[in-house]
Amino acid sequence: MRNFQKKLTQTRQNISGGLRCFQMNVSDNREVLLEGSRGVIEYNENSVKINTGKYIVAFSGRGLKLSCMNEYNLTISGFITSIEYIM
Amino acid sequence: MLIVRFLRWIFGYSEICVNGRFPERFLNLASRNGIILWDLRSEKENLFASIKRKETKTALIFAKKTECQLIIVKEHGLPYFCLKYRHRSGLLIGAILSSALCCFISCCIWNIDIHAPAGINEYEIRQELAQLGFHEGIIYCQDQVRDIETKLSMNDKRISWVSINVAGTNASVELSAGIPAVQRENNNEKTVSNLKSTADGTVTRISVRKGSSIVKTGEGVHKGQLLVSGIAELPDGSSRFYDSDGEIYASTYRILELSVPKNIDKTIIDDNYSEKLNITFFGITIPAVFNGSPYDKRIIRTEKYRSNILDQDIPLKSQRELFFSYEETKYNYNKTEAEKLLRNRFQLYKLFVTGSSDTRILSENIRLIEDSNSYRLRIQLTTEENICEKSYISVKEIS
Repeated sequence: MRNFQKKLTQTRQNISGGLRCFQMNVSDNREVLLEGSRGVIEYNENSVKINTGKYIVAFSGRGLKLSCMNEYNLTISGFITSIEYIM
Repeated sequence: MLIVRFLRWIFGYSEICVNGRFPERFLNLASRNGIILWDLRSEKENLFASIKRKETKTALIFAKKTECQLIIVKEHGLPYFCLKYRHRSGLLIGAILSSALCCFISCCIWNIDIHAPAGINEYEIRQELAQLGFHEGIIYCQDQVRDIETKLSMNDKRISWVSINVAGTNASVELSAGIPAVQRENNNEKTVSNLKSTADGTVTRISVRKGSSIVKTGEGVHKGQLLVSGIAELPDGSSRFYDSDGEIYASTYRILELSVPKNIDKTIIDDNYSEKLNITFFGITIPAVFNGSPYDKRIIRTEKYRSNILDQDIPLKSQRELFFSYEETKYNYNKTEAEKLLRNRFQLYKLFVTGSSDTRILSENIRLIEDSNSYRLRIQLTTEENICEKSYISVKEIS
């Protein structure tokens, strides 16, 4: 049973990671919904850096919050002043 | 979003504070292992977040792994609330009892609205319903209500149709007045009728739609005389039957006498009154306030008030009863007062006579007569009115 669960999780991760490309949905400069992230590299109230696998997306601003976060998705809210792609 | 918040509260959640060299590592590890974090904010070098109650232990392990310190700042939700008050069993019992009471009183009917048509007294219907067991405070049962509907429409001949609609704890009783039963005619019998005179007079106008007129304009007729016949003789000797219809107007003469006694017993209501206030709560009436002392002779005026919240009736009503004292005194009418009163009564009579039918007053002669006990107004009236009255005759057709 445990093996089956492990395999299922692994398959799910493979499918999600393989099929899901990085998507970013920006609402004004107040909220950004990110899908397909691979992890948070840096987080403080003025800067957030997200690893997408191919590159890093850096958000700068004031009072930045991660409203919700799970394995692949996260929502950044606050006053965003710049979005930068770091290759 | 509200549902999500509610579910989070139901299952419980904790506010945590993570501090260390790399709190981002903790975030990544936690999220990769299926831990959902929300409301993340960074204050000075601390990371604050909210986490499910069940996942707190796992998060503590990950914090250790990533060399971070995890502190639970606050705990929210129902499981923590229950944990806090686990020793106060009274609260739990109270909550269960109040829930049970709420469930019970929600099953009862606390307001009955009766929409009775004209001619049917709402109070009488309420009494009849109470006798059948439908009153405020009963437990709602659909079968019982249907049974009461049937019984009420069967018992009261004035009602043709009853519907009791229950919405929540309010019941609305809709009534429809019955139409008086019409005696069915025998199929073998034809409706044949004559028109007869209702008063003595001289015929002025004739308008006959069915039947053959016996009288002519200018002829004098007496009460009960045949005016229009429902049987017409045909030239071949056979007869034809009609349900006579028409109007015959005649100028009639009548004497009307209205009287008023010289001495009458008059009831004078005082300004003084005592007041009683009853409060009905869940069908139980409690006397609340009584101002003043009760009088031997009293007239009661009742005022009922309902209370509602957001247009929804609640089972809290108040009833105010005002007890007015009165005195009975002897009063003597003088001639002017008596004449004025009688003339007013005559005007009212005229209004009813001329207003309800096509009767026209041609002339009137009024005289006030005074005798030992009363004043009488003697009126000689000449009117033009329809003097026809139907008189059915039984004719059986033999085939």
